[in-house]
Amino acid sequence: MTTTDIELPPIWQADSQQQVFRALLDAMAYPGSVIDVPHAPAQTAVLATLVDQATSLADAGGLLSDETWRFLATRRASVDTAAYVVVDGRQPPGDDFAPSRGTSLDPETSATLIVAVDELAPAEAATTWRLTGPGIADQVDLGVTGLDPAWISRRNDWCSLFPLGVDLILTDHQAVAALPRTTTIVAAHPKPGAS
Amino acid sequence: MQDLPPRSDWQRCFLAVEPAQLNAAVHEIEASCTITPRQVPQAGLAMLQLREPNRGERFLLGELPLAEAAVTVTTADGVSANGGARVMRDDQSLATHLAILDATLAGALPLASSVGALVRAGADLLAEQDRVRSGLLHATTVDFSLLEAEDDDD
Repeated sequence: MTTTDIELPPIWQADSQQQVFRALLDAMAYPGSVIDVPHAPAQTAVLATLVDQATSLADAGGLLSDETWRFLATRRASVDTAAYVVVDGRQPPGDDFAPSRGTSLDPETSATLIVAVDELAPAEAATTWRLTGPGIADQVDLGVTGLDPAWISRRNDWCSLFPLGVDLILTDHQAVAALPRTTTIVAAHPKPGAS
Repeated sequence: MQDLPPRSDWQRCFLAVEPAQLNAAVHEIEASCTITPRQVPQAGLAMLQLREPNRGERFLLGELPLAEAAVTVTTADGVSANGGARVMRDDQSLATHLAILDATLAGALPLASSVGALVRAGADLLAEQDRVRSGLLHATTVDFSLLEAEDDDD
């Protein structure tokens, strides 16, 4: 066969996914840093990079289209068993929302939550979170709009028995920021005038 | 369309004809239609899983090369059809082209008649191949009753 292969959208091409993977490595290594990905929306770019037939995915917020599911070609799973869970950060987690935290012997079997928010590091953040821990020299303030504070509260509960826990990847339209389970998160004082 | 083999046999028929003929047909379709992928085409090794007949347990027989693709073919008039292909070769491009032909024929798009001709040509080639193989198989048939007659002679 000699005809040209049909062109996939950039977000589904290997070159783009390698760049997104590099961005995710940096985001995980430096918690709280906001890193742009090459192609928007960042949430789909992250999923295209991390998820395949060998993993499982839960769409707790009903955020993914049928087309995205088809391209991901992954296994659908319930929130408590999925390796990756997509959630809408604007809505608080339900009382019965319980992602896998792994086990003492296999903490790596825990879930990674991909949390959609309105904006990372905006000029006027509704909430600013103060981060400390590995990968952070002293402390980092991460401003986020469109993230219900209940997510951080519940995340802190889930990560209270280290090494059990969950890792969070926050996504807005174009960027990602990671909150690995080793990061300590507390609310910083809101900026004056921030809503 | 009515004298075509069932759709499940089309891929086998396509693979029986010369690759250059498939190429020409795909070129023609690509020139007049828009091709959009419905999934990320895949090519590589797959594990063949079978169920053993004794206890019904599943086991992995081994690896095989596999490529698959699914596409939507849309004509200039906006008529579209979906097609797919899964072929036991490590050739993503081939799977994509088979999916394009499958969509064109299944959706009865404008070039379906020439694609249908390919299927018929492939079906004829396969029938001839089956006829030759049947003849070879028949030629190797052993009549064991002759052995019995030989024993009686002894």
